[in-house]
Amino acid sequence: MTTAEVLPQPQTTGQFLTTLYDLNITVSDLDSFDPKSTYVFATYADDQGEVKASIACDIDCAAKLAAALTQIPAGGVEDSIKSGKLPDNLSENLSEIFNILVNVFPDHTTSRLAIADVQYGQDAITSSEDQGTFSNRCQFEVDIQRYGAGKMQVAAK
Amino acid sequence: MKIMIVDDSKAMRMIVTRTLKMAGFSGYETVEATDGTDALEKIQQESPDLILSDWNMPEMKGIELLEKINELGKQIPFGFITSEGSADTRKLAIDSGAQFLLTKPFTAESMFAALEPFMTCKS
Repeated sequence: MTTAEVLPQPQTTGQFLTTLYDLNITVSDLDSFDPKSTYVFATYADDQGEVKASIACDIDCAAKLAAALTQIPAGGVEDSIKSGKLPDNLSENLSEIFNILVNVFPDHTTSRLAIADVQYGQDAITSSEDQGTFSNRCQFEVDIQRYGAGKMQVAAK
Repeated sequence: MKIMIVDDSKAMRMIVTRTLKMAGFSGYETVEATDGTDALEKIQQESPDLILSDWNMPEMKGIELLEKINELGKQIPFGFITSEGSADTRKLAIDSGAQFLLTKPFTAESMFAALEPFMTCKS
């Protein structure tokens, strides 16, 4: 299987998010994603419990995706970003977003994936990077209408 | 017409409600439930005409809710709105009596297409 088959492309990811949010969301390639910037890290597993894929976001991406989902005013998001921690309502939205993002993986319709774990902070992703868990990865800048941009890394075996 | 929205995510209940409006439906009211157990209680009280349910929820999953409704002999149109999009999941849903399975994320157009046959109060 090629990388293109296991990882989503920027355009399809942008269309996916635009459909979810009913906002104009553009997704473009980034050269790199610094694991130290990770705020939230979600893993996805198959029916056998084997972790197959992951998505990481920095706090800008996490906060803006979470706020935009229920149209929480963009102005209030900046305070959360500065504090380095999302309040409960944004964290709840973020959980739902990661749940839905399972469908961004191209082969999800043929092989079932479900969210396995959501962790906060850089430790989880650093651990998986050290272990070489994911052989394929891509990095995106996600720019949400009215909310602004953040960084995301999508990875798969 | 009364539509019951069953989802443990407040955000998703809000999005489903918003998308019903965007799809152009009118003349209905919505009732919300947070999981299958809550939905079963409210079905008795509210007698919904259509149920839109998530698949994965605490307490009682959507598929278990559908099975319970079948056991009760209630003939209520039932559709899933879920991130579960695999062929196996879709088959299980339809085999269990669901009228449709709408995968998240969904559009107003896809929601209209799925719900239109069951809406007695179209715009």
